[in-house]
Amino acid sequence: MKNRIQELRKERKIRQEDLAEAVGVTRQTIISLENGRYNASLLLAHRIAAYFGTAIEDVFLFDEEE
Amino acid sequence: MKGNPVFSKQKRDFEKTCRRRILAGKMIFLAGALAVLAALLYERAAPLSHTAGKGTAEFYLVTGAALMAASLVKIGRTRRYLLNPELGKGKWLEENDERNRLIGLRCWAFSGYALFLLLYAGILISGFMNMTVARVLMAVTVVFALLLGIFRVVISRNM
Repeated sequence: MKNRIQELRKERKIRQEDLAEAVGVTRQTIISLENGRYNASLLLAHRIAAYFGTAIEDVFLFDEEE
Repeated sequence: MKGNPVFSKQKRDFEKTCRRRILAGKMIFLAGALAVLAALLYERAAPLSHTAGKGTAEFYLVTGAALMAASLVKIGRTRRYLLNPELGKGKWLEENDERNRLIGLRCWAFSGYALFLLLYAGILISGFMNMTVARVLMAVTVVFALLLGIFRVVISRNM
């Protein structure tokens, strides 16, 4: 699943550490999410979307074929 | 929002977890001390020169001492998390990070598969050499499979 975490984070000039602390995960998890190596749980996706003040589908791009 | 317990845990629970770990550490220390005591008593009752008991006292002495040392280290580390909130927060994050938890679960799963395969290979090979070893390995495999089945049923009921 693709996501726009890095794009949204850079737009808002937020560091990975700060995002990680705000959503309750390690920086390594944010790195893995941004690289597409790890898919967030529904709870984490909700937290990240809430942090950016957007809807989940605006951050995480669902692909039917996946 | 209450999350899936596999992936999320409340921060306030961490203090309780630390206290439980300290208690467990104390119990392990006690078990180690009992093993050392048993070794010393055994040594008195059956001197080391006695063939049947050779190595038994040393085994319990070393095991007990190792348990005591490990539990002291664990207690010390856990106390530091309680005394230093910053350190505790970092540890909480490390332990409750959903990716770390998933990695942990997968490690257990893959270790389980690998162990099962190794046991199977061990049974096949040891059958040609020593039937006692083969029977012990078969018993371990059966217990392993039973535990796997039991946990599957228990976890399925709660999820």
